[in-house]
Amino acid sequence: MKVFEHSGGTRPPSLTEQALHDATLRAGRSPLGRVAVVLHLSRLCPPGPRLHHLRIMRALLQDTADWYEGQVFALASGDMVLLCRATPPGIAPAIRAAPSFATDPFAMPDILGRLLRADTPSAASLVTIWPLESAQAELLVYTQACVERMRVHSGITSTKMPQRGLRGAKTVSIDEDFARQTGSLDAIGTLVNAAAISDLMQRQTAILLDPAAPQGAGLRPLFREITFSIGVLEERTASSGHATADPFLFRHLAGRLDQRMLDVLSQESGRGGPLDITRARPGEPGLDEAGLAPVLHLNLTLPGTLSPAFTRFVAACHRAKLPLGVEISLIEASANAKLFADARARIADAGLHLVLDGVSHVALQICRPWALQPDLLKLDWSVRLGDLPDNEQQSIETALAEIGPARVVLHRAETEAALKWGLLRGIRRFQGRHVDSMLGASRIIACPSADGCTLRQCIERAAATGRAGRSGCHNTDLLDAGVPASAAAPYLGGGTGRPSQVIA
Amino acid sequence: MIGSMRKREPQASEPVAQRQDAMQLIALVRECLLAGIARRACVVHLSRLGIDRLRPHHVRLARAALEPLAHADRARLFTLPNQSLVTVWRGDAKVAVATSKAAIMHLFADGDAGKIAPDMVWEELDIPGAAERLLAMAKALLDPATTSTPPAASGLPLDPASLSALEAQLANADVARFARRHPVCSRLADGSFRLRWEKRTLCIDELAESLTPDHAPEADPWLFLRLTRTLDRRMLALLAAPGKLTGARPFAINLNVSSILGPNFLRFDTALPAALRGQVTLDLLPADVLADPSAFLFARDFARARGYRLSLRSITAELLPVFPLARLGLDLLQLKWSAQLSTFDGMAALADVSKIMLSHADTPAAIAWGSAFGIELFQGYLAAEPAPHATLAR
Repeated sequence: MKVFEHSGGTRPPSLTEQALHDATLRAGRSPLGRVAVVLHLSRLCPPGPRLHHLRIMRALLQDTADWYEGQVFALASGDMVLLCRATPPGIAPAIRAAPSFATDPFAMPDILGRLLRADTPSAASLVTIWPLESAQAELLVYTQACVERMRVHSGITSTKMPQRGLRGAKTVSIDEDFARQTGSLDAIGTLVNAAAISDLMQRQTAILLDPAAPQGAGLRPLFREITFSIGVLEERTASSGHATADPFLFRHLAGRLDQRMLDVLSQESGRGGPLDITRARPGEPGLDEAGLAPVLHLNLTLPGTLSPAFTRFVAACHRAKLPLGVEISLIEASANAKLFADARARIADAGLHLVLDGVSHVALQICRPWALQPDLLKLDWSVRLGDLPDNEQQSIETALAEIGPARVVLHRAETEAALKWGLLRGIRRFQGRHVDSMLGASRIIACPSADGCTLRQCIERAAATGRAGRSGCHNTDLLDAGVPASAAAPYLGGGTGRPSQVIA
Repeated sequence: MIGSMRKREPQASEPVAQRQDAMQLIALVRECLLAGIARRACVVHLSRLGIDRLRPHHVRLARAALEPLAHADRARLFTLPNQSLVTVWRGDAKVAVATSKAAIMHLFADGDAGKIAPDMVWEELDIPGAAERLLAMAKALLDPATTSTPPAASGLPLDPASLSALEAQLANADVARFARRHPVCSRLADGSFRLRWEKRTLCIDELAESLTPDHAPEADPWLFLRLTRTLDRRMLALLAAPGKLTGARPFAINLNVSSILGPNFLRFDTALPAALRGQVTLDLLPADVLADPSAFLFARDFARARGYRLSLRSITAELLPVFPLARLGLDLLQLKWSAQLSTFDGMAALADVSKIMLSHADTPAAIAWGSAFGIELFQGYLAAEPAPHATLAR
């Protein structure tokens, strides 16, 4: 099957920008009743503009172009420009809306902005309308800048300018994409079955952060999550980005990885390595206020949770008196609610904690994941959380209130802004790269063997589960403890500010 | 071989497989009725022969006796929950019928119970002429308390390699013959049903049996979901073919979010007759919505701007509180009937029943439960009573 994705045409990139500029000049000779609609898709939040944005927006603009005697220009930056008449020629306004989905050019900011509001902090800034009669100069400045940008890139650098538009969008067939993705899955499956997987896994510590606590008690490790490192798996199989490209294929892969991870963790028990669950006793790295928080978290699929391998692993945890948390993704739970209910019952029967993972802020606005009754819910931090429109912000606040901030872990907390956003809303549990940095900085300050160690090295060694990844560290006990109790300190709002300075 | 008929041998659980057979027979007969397609059928009433003649080897031998009919056009064999066998085929098969009938009569001709009359064990029927009788027979055998059992997957689960091969096959296969239409009806005050729209699907079981008989595509749910994207493309291409939707009634199709945002949907949208604008429902899955919530919002608003209705399907009692309709911004929730629902007490507090459709309503218990909660829309084997000889435009 050869189904090629929509491409932007055959015109070389620099020619489209030039063609737009020329068309603007031509239209300017008789500007009356002519208008330019510029759709700034390049302003969408990464990873936007995505292929579907480009495809659908192109189709919508083309509808109007057909009806309003216009032309659509898809630029390399991702932006699209529609040059057309302000009213359809020779047709009374009362009739013109009836037979077509063509949008009145002047209604486009509202309609297109509404469609794209989930992907931009400011939908209003996505569309600019320049009536040629009054604003041709502004349009020419824009088109000239597009031409110049293309000229600079083609003249100065031999590397191609990043293409975000339809022309830059992949033109490989769906079949080729699929073949790469399934090839990646098979290669990863083979790798994890053949190799010593401790070098393919990673661990990350979540913390309980209380800025109001007295000095020395503001930050405590809460649990440590052990997962396969998808980045390492893709790197080792030379399939960067393919394993995670399709969410359904990725869930299939997750199912294949579960069994192997559970087997290995059971085997490593008592052997003294970083994957030895008997080393991670309560108190190392730390407990919550009730002293009952699990110290090890595993991310599992539903069949993995219901497998004999999981039963064996739970038995090993019980022998080691190690509390365990099981993380199940929201998409997995929603795919088979009956199986999820079985898994939840089994987790509860075993006295374990259930964590609902993979909850984005958008998911929080369209559904009520807390109705699945997890013990903890992991909300993925997004920079969008900081600039949501008021109604969406209110929706998030209401959801957090229903869940209870004490049951929320702000996941993927990569920046200090994430921690501040969470703390302002009563969230005290955090996990992510910024947390890694805080913990690393604390270790370096407290560690007597840290001379010559960089923060990055300390973070990477703490995340490693294989001996090779930890080599160079002379204080692996501290590495495994996450953070020394003596180093725990308030880090935000009136604290020492030291971690931020170190990270900077 | 009788196994060459388009029917899998019952495997894991015979009762489950037999209930599925009964449901599939009902579906087949109903499709014939709706589309005005003629078929012939014969029923081997093993259940009338007494327990002594209902041992497994009797059933096995009876199936073998129907072997000649396996070669008839579009032949399908169904084993009903009472062990009776129903064969449905197309066209003339006089010789095969005579041979099979003779073999059956020979098989049960002499025994302790004495000679049996041919009419007692062998019955031939015309569809649509005797469709109501066949429907009544199959419906009566569905145990109201325990039906709606999910299909048991038989065969190997897909792996990436077999999925890849299947998708390649799908590219060249004529999927039109797997296209099916299932009525979605509203229940009227007098208990009768009125057709509201048709659910258009591709029959996965038959498609898989035809293209990859050793595999059960739904056994691996994630690879199956991936496969549905390809099925979406084929379905959209099928519907967008010239003249396919001329005079068509309102309909619904299953789609993935990514399919709504794909080039095939744009072509389908262009081909959609003006009369159907606003009459087409796009049915989404919860896991698909959550796989890419931002894309879902974009697709939802785009589809709505184009005049499509949107619904979320396969909602169970567990998921009902998770997916409030207002929060999703959709038009309809498709609640999947199961016995578990009968003990679910959160309906009144949770859902606007005017925007709920009860799917898989295959039993009187399902209809009664839904009606008791004020649900008016039903989809299932029992929730469709179109007028005899009614035909829907293709």
